[in-house]
Amino acid sequence: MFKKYKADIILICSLIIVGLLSCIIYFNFYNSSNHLVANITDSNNTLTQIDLSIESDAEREIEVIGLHNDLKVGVKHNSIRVIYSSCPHQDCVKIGSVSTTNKPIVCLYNKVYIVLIDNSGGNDINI
Amino acid sequence: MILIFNMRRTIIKKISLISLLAALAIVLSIAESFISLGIPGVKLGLANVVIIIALYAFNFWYALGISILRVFVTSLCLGTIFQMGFFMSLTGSILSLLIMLLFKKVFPKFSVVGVSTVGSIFHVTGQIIIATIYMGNLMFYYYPLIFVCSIVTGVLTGIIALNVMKLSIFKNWNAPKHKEISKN
Repeated sequence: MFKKYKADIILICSLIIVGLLSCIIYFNFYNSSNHLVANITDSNNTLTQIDLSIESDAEREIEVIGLHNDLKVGVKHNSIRVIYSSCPHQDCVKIGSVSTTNKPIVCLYNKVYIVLIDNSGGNDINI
Repeated sequence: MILIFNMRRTIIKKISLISLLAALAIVLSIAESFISLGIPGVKLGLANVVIIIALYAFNFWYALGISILRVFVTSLCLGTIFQMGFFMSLTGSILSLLIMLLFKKVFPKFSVVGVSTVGSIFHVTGQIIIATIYMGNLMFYYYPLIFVCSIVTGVLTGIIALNVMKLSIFKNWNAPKHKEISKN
């Protein structure tokens, strides 16, 4: 049986190794600085930028205008999450709180994308 | 006369089977749209089982027809036609089918499971390419995770397809016609 599927087993094992290696790289090479800025955009424009480093530890809610409905976004110190979205799969809500630069929050249905940017350089941001 | 009758019966049987496969692909596609794996755009790819069966039991063109029909009907039913998800799905399906055909022809050593795994990877790659065109390189952040998920779902769909294809109904469709006639 194993002889019959030898080629498949080799292929699948090598693909799994490649996949796991890229996951290890992905999860280790992220930036979780203390000066994070959340960049909230739709497909073309920046909707808003929030300096997460100056936020308090108590979560505050903001509303973001999406393509179909508005999203409720929870913002606290160096962390952001989607609290409510009208999208059918709720993937953006399930992602939970994000506090690293390697994990964007994507709501395909409402076309809202939240990306964290490291602002350690202290660049000016439009809030 | 008997020959013509048998040929007609074979054609009707083939059309019925392909229609059933197309219907099954659409139903599976709609059903899996309600199942979320937690990563935007990632699906189980259950409908891919049907496409692989069509590719192996019949030929590339039947598989392509079923695949395109599935994308159109599913999008119509879910109200997402000509939206980003529709183009992601269409590109993913066509790319995956082309790669599966190429893989099947060039590397005959690989079984359905290997071909299905490669198809699954290229399905998500096609989707990511379209997502990148629409919204920049955001979805590439998820690619390593989606890549691993696609290997798992590809192996699972391949194993299901391999077992389903053992059913006698899917055998001998690719056999030469003269053999079919002489047998009857």
